[in-house]
Amino acid sequence: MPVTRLCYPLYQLGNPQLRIFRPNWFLTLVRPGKEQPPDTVQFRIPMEMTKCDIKNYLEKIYNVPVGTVRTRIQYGSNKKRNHLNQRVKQPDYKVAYVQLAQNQTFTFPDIFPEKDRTPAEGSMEEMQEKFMEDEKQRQKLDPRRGGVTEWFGL
Amino acid sequence: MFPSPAQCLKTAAPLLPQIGFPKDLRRLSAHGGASRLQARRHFGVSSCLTAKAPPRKPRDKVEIPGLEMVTYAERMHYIPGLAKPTFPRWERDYKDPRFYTSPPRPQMALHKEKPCYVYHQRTSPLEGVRQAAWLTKTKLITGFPSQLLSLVEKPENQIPDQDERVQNAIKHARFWDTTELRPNKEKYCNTLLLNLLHLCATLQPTHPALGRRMLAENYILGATWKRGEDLFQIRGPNGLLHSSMDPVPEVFGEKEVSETADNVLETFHPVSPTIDLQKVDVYKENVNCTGFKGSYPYPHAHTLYFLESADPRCNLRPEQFRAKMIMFTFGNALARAHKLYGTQPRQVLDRPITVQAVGTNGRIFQFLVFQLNTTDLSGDDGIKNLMWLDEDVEMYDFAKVRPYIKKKQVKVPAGLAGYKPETFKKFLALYLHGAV
Amino acid sequence: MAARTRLSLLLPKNLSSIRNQRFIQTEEAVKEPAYPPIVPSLTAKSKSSLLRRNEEQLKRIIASPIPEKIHLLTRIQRMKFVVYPQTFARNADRWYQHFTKTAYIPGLPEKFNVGPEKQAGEEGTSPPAAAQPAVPGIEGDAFADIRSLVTRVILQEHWHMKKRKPFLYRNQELVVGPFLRTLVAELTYSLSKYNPLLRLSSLDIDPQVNFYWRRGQRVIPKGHRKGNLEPTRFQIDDKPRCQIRITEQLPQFVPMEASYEADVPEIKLAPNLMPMFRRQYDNNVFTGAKLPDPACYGHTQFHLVPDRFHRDRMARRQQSDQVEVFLRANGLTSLFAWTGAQAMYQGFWAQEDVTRPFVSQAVVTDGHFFSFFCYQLNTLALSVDTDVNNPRKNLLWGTESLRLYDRVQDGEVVGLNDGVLKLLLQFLMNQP
Repeated sequence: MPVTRLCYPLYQLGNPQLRIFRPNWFLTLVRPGKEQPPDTVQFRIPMEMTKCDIKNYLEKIYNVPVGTVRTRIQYGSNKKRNHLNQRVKQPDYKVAYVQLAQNQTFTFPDIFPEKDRTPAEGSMEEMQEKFMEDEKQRQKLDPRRGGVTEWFGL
Repeated sequence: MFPSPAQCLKTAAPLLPQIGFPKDLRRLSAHGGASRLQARRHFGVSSCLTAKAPPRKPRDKVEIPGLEMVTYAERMHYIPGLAKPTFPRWERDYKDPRFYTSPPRPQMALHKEKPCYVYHQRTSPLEGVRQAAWLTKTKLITGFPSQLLSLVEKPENQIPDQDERVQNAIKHARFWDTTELRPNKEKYCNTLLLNLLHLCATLQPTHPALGRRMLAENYILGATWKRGEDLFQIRGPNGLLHSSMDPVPEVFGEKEVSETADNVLETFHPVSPTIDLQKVDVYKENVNCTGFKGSYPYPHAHTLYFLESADPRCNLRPEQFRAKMIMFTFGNALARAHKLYGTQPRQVLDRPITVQAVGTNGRIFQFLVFQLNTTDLSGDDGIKNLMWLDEDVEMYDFAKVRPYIKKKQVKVPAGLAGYKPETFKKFLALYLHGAV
Repeated sequence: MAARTRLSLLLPKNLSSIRNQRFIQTEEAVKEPAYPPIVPSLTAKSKSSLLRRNEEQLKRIIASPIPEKIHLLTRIQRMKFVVYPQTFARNADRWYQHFTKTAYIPGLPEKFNVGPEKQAGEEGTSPPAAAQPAVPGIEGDAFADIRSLVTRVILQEHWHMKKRKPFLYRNQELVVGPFLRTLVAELTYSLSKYNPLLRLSSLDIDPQVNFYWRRGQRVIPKGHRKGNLEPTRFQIDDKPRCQIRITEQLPQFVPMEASYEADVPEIKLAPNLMPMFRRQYDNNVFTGAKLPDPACYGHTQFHLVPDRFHRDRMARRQQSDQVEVFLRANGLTSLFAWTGAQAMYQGFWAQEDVTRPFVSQAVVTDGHFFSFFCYQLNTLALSVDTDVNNPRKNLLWGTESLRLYDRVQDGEVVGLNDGVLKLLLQFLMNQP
């Protein structure tokens, strides 16, 4: 990250069209916290980007047909305190909701799918699992007692 | 913020040279004893003590051709002792609309020596109807033409359930048009006029000639004429125009037209007739535009409709409103005459041009029928134009949302009160004139 | 023994019948209840009390006259979603269809399509002439007159009239607005000869149309009312360019039962994802005039596409596909609001559903392109408790945008489309 602050040239009438060829901006596709319509994609974007920037970015670099973009800035809380009782600020970030054109839809994929936990046939893990299960079953009381402990009774 | 007393007195010095410093005062005090030892506070805030000094006028620089001042222009930097250079004014060689300053008046392209008096829709003439009559060289007759009234008395020229439908129209405009309690004045004025026009237009099945009419709005009128020594112009948007394919039949006969030659116009000496008209030096000569270019299929102006609340910035009193009606009706007729017969002034037109006008403020109506007989307006004698003017005709007395109660007695009930059917008959008469 | 038998003989033979008579008499005599019926209280802080209070309010609303009814229904102000008929949101027509329970049917109902086929069938032998009357009731000459009238109106506004150059992005409101107004007025007056309804009609310029309704519910996520169920409220505030209101109701296009099979898109998501925003202000139900007006039924509305949504601007932003969506959404919401308000003026609301369908028409235009919409309101019962087992749906018929004329050149109108003109005339001629 450069130390000097980047200052984009302020536009005045008569200036040439501002063109950015290698933007230093990176978008993050996130899973929406609240349910969104199927054509809406949610991004976390750097604070300096605007709606037009996102539209051009996605269209030119990723060839994604973009309909409309809406942005908002999420305030990161300043309430938590550290061990020295100083307030710790969580960073603010900008969120963009991009609606896709041409009737395209997007669903955020399941990044952490449930793995099938059954162990392979004839392996050590399977025998261990079976053994543990049998042990647990033996420890359980007679189901006909209805959950009453061994204290009661003869 | 608060200048010290010394500063105050110093600035006030040029105004009041006789006041000196407090120390001097002490020394100069008339009675020898009881002079103060301390400085006197100065708390006076009157303008003679606290006024700002007037700006000094810069000295006039005198340019002597043989003796030019030596400036530091070539040296490119300030040198004490040399004069400050003055450079010629730089003009952009291309045209940039953001940095355009208009040339001074005498150098503008359309500048004329002779001023022109312009009447536009925000003019409010002092003498009202008399001034308008003088400017347009018109003989004024108050009242409503009886032949038009007799036209409407016939049952086939009336709308079925006329009274009830007109009352419904008024109630719609005054009460029912909005979600709030009552609509505001400009809204109900406009709605009332449109409702009445809609009612009149529903007669079209029985009167096919009404199909040859068209409504137009926001058109820009222009007409020029000479009156006495002065040039007059009437310009600008005026109101709703109802134009038709056929010319409006005349209201006045030939005899009456020739009788106007003996009539003397009312003057209002010592007031000049050009009072309250905008005097312009920069104007286009011979502006004659009916508002439509090309071969417009509805060239004849039939009726003009004026609303008092059309321009919210400009409140005209009833007299001035009537004058505005007269002037713009005349303007329309004159523009048409110029188009038909040319711009040369003519003593008598072969076919006089008639234009009607209706003005309203939502309750009170003014009806006008104007007949242009002559375009020769420079002299005060000769054939004059004629007009009928029916002033201050009320359509209804009160339209109240809540009843007016005084001392626990209902003076005016809620709803529409005091409806007069004759007013709508006159409105309908003007509408049907020429189509029956 | 003998005494017993004699006693038995002495006793009347029809003893049992006397006993039965006594029972019959007691059944017939209605016993007045000594105590009032046991109902939950009105003022207690309990669920049954709340239910009873709601029932009492319902009974009060049903029993009151119409102005009172509307006032009671729209009295309380709460946060509601504001539905804009002319909206920038994408795919707005699907969302609005869900909110108003409307099914979209492309094309127009048979009433407007029968004309050309019928005429073609009747005049099978005669060669198809250029001026073939496709509008029932208007012959060739009258049609030619109306055609020339329309040409004159177009030319007047765009060619003949001398007016100032329109401001940037105000072309629609300054040029096309007056043109639409004049066109509607002139066509109404010319067609009043053929359509007696138009003679008693009322033409409004820039009227207001408002409607307020409830649909669906949500659980309040945060706040002191967290966990409670709250109905989602909607309000439409529309300003059509002009509208024609009539004294009689237009006949229905299809019977109510035909709407049972129509499909309405279901959207499970909250409306604010559309995006749609909540505000709290006066709840209004208004057709264009207040209740006492005799012309309480609607005939046709005319809407103007503003500069912001003009198709040239949309094309520059590569959103040309949204143009049709915008027009449909506009027609749908405006007509739903108008018909709903008309139905409420007759006393129908969510709990008292409409007994006859309310019908209206609309034309959305930007000066060159005209789209025609017909709406039939079959049900007003859109709130949660009334929408259970309600098979009725509202119907919207609509066309794509059709070009009326190509351009104005040298004082002539080039490419005037007769089909579109005929459709416009058919719309205005619609009468029971």
